[in-house]
Amino acid sequence: MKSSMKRLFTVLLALALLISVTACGAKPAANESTAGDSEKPADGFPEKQVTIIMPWSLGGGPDTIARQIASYGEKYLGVPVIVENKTGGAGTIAMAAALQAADDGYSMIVANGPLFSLTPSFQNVNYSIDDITPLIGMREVEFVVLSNPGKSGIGTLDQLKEYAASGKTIKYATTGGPGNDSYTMISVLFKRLGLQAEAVPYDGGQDAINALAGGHVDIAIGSPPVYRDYVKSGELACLGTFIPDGIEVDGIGRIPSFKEQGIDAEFIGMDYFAVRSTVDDAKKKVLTEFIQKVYADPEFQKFMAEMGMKAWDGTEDEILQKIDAQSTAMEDYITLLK
Amino acid sequence: MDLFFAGLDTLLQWQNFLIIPIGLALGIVVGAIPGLTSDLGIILCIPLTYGMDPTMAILMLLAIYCGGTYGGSITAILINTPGTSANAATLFDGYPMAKKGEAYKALSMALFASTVGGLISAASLLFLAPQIAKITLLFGPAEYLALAVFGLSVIASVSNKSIFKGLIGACIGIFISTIGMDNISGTTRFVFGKINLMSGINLIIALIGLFAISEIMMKSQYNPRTDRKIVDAGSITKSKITREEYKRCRKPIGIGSLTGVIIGATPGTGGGLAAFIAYNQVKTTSKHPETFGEGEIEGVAASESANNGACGSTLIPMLTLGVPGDGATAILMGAFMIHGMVPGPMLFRDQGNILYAIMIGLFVVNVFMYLIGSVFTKFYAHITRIPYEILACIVLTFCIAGAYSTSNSLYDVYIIIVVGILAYFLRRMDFQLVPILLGIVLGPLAEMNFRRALILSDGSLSIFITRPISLGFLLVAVGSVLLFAWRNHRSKAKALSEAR
Repeated sequence: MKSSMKRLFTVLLALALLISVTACGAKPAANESTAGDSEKPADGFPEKQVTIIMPWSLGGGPDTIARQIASYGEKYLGVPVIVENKTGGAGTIAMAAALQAADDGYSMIVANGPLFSLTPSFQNVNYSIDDITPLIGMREVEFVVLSNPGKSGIGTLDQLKEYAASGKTIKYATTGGPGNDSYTMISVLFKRLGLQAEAVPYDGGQDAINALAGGHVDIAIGSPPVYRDYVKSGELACLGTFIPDGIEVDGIGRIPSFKEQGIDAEFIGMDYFAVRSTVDDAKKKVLTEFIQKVYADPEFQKFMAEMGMKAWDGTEDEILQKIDAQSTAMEDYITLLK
Repeated sequence: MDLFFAGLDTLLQWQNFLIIPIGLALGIVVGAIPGLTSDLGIILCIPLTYGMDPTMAILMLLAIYCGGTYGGSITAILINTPGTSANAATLFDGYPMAKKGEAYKALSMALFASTVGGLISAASLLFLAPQIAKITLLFGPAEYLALAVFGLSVIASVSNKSIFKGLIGACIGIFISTIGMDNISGTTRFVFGKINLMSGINLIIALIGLFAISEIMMKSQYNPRTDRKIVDAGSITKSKITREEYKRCRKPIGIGSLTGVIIGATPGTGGGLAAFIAYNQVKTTSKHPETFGEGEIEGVAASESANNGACGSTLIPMLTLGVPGDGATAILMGAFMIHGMVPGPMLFRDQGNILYAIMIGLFVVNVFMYLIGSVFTKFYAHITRIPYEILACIVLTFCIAGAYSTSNSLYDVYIIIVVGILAYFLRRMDFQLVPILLGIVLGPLAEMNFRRALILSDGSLSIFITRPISLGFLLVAVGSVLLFAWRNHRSKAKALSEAR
């Protein structure tokens, strides 16, 4: 009895130690968040490291671009810029982190359109577009719908319709589940076409393209640079893009839009840099100019060309307009899918 | 062949031979600290590589990756906590060996097996990449489900006395893995409105809580006055691997390396699963399965050759198809892109000489790993001499720092404590931790692919038995469980007749 009491005591002691250690860890973090002094004039800004909060995983398109931009921090901003990935919850975890961070201009976030136009229809979110100010665009995301003619015999939209007419259900790979932009758009496409089809959600763009290349699904959605080499080598075929004007892809040629092919399904994906809307205007300007300088750097342009991407220098107004238009369109699409 | 020599030419520069040992040393250190993984080591070093030429940059990152996978075995052997999830199977026999005073021997075998596994893996990458890539594409949802079931069948042999406790443990693991956003239906599960839980429980966080925190709590019965063992410094490195033991380990290392290469080449799996499957295969085909788990050097050899055997082959689907095999290769893929190489079908054609330089460089990485490891091992073995009351504090500090650093959030620190307390009580009730870990690792792979397969087959279960690869894995899984059950039954019957 005595020894078991002693054991219990030691376990409790170990627990107390654990809790006290974690409690000690909490203090500096709390201090940091109260240290946000937004009254400071912008001419001293920035004097310490700037963090870019990245909602998407390491090694993906936006992450790679953000890390490349961050590497110019010392050169054009005079301080180190670091990228911190806070993934999960379709970007909402990163949004929450960005809004919890001090509004001293030392935290930027990379956001996209669906965080405001789509995610709120699927999750209870505690942010709105008024909480952030977009600074400058990062890239436009061009979703393309692809097929594998060698495996399914589908190489064009007409062949797709024939395939469905033969009584088969089309299986299409998406890069995420319901509430994800690629899932929504490709599902809308099949609804508009009136074809029998079922989504197979995969984890990310590479996974979806792989499933298509392996012949496990009939159709997949992709964005550059993931699908480019497969189409160049003739293994996969492009059925169309959601960008209303169609797109020109290096080495592939023009990919027509679905709008041109008479289907009402359009979407321009975009990623952009933003800060909390309460950050000083002068500081916003410093950060925007920093990214503009990076975009103008020939070395950065060479990097983007090698990746098969283009930097998009959309302004605050352009971004807000797009989000607004996208929100209206998404409302229709979501009702259609329900 | 021209590309091969062009690659060799690119590789043979003194800078490359300087950067590889640096990467390895870094990798071994981050691998050995629970919570810090080779993933993190690679991320931290990517910015350092911006100024380097691509071959040098990638070789440094690969050295971190290989070093990290080996380094994790050090803590698995010495403090019963795998440094990375790939080393979890090393616990079974590594820690019992250390308890018997054979820490140096276990560490040396881990290094030897890791190196052999790594070399075989590098060879597979160099010679078989295009062929293996074709097979990888055949893996659809049904095949992944079958592979996950095969992995889960390992539970039978790692649950020691009670298979039911093993199954309950696996269920607990699978339950933990279901927390968060479900990608297929787009709904959240067991989140209770907490935004931090939406991305689920990070594997490495679960690992720290499960093994390290609970281990420290288990030692709460430890009494420094009576339980401390004084170990003589000279005796630590005395127990060397004998020639007979090297000979005995040939088969386990062979099985381990091959398993590592095959599992590693399958995207979404990785070295941890390879190590478990290899351990299981070696144990079931061994003439003396009862010695496994009691400090059997063959167990260490099998699991360590398997996880490093996966290191090179995880690069195969990444380089040829642009499909990362595990977390670390996903990050490596980012690094490749940063250096102007987009992994995928065109990479070999466009940048062949750099790729060959990297693939040949992987051999160099493994040879250096053996050299550096042999020096380190002598020092590491002395960790067993640190009194536990001091070691526990150091380990706890590293665990908390490691947990915090995975996503810079205190939330993860709370999670390791909650998981640790849960694991402590489960261990007090004689549950094994490894089935729980298997559940966490394989649960999502099994669940997501089961659901995807059923969507593809319009709800028919026949998809799992009409596809040859899937059927094959399922049969092997059933076979290995049956073999285990039969052996168990026989040894029980024998024990019973002896008792009479």
